Amino acid sequence: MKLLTRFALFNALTIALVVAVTVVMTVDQVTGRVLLSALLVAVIFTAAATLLARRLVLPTIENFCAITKDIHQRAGSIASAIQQQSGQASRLSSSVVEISSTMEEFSSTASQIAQHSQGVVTRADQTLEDTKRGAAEVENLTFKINDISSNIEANLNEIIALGKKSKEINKIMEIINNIANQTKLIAFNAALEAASAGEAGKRFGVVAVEIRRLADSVVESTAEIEARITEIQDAVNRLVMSSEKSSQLIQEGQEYASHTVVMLIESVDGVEETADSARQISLSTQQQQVASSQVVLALKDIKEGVQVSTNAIQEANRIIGELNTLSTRLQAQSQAVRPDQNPLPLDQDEAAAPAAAGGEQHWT
Amino acid sequence: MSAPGAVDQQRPLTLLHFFLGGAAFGVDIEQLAAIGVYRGEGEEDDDLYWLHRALGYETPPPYRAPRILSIKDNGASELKPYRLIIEAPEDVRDFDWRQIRPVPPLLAPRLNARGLWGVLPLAGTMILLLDCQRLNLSM
Repeated sequence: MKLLTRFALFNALTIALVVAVTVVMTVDQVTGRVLLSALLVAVIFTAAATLLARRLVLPTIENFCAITKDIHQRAGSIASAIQQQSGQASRLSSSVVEISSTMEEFSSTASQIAQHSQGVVTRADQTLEDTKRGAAEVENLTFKINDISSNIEANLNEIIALGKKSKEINKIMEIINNIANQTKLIAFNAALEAASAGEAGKRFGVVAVEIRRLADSVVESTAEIEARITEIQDAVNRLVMSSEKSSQLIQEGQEYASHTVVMLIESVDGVEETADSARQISLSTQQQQVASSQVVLALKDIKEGVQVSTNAIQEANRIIGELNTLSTRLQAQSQAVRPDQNPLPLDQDEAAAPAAAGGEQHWT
Repeated sequence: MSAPGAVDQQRPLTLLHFFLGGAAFGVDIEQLAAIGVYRGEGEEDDDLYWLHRALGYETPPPYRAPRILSIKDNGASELKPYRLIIEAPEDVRDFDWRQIRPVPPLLAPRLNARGLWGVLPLAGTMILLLDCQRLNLSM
């Protein structure tokens, strides 16, 4: 304000002097008195105007200074806030980087799990197919065992029939033996008659001897046949026992095969459920992998956004610094036009506000 | 005991050879009329005798295939034809008289009383020669 007053007074005096000189130099006393009066009036008017302007402008200037100070303070607050925000953005960026790195590892792990789960699905499907084939093979085996059992039973019946026939042969052998014994008896009697007949019975006696020998031969043969038949019967009995044992073993095998079929069928159901579960897991892991990939991309976007935000904050910080500088200058200018009152103190703390993190700060 | 009476030792001795209770016996076929089959209890008759009883043994040995010998009479009035049950004969063979040995003197009284008059060695066995016409059928 002092400057304005001085300037106005200087202008007024200057004008007055010039006019006075001009008047003195050019006009007569009357006109000079008139002009001098006019000049005096002008000077007084100017002084009055100056005082009036001062009274009218001063509040405005003071308001202007207050506003400027306020702006300065606000600029400082904004700078501080922006600085905090910059710090937060930096920390956020670091966290985003860490999260991004973790998510990339997670995505990689999810990818491996997806691959492994797919392998499990493939193996489960293969196991299911193998189990089904196994069940079918065991079922076929059961049928074959049934066939074998039927054959063995048929063979057993044949063997038993053979044993019965051999017993019938034995009966025939007994008949033959009886005949042979009777023949032998007849031969003995013939020998007795031949001996009784003396010389005349000698030929008859020879015949009797031959008949007896023939009978002995038949008896020996029938004895051999009986022995063979006995051996056959013993073999038949052993075969029957063996077949019965085999039949029992086959029956046990059939039962085991049937149980195995049932267990395999249950296993098929279980493996099928396992395969379905594996497929669900694989699908879920694949979805998880996709989701994690999307998260990684989103984190990258966030990271870029954070970086942009950080850059913007830094730019804003720089601008705020410039604004603060301008406000300081403005405040200094406003102090210059104030009347000689206690000047408003400049906010030195705000003027010395710390630089924005990562950005340029321009302070005056 | 001598050989069965009225035998012609110029001719060979034709014996009916059989086993009974593990012992070998031989009977001159000149004493036999016929040989038949023993068919069991239906054959019981007054003139039918078991050999083991005639020899003085109450416990019967096993008879595998019993046969009935029809014994001729000896032409004397004291012996009538009868039938004797033996085991099935093995053979009818001729033997040389010179092969026959008498029973040992120590056993001769006992054996002679039972119609056993000699011993014939044959292939490691001893055939006891039996005179059916001198058996003690009352035993």
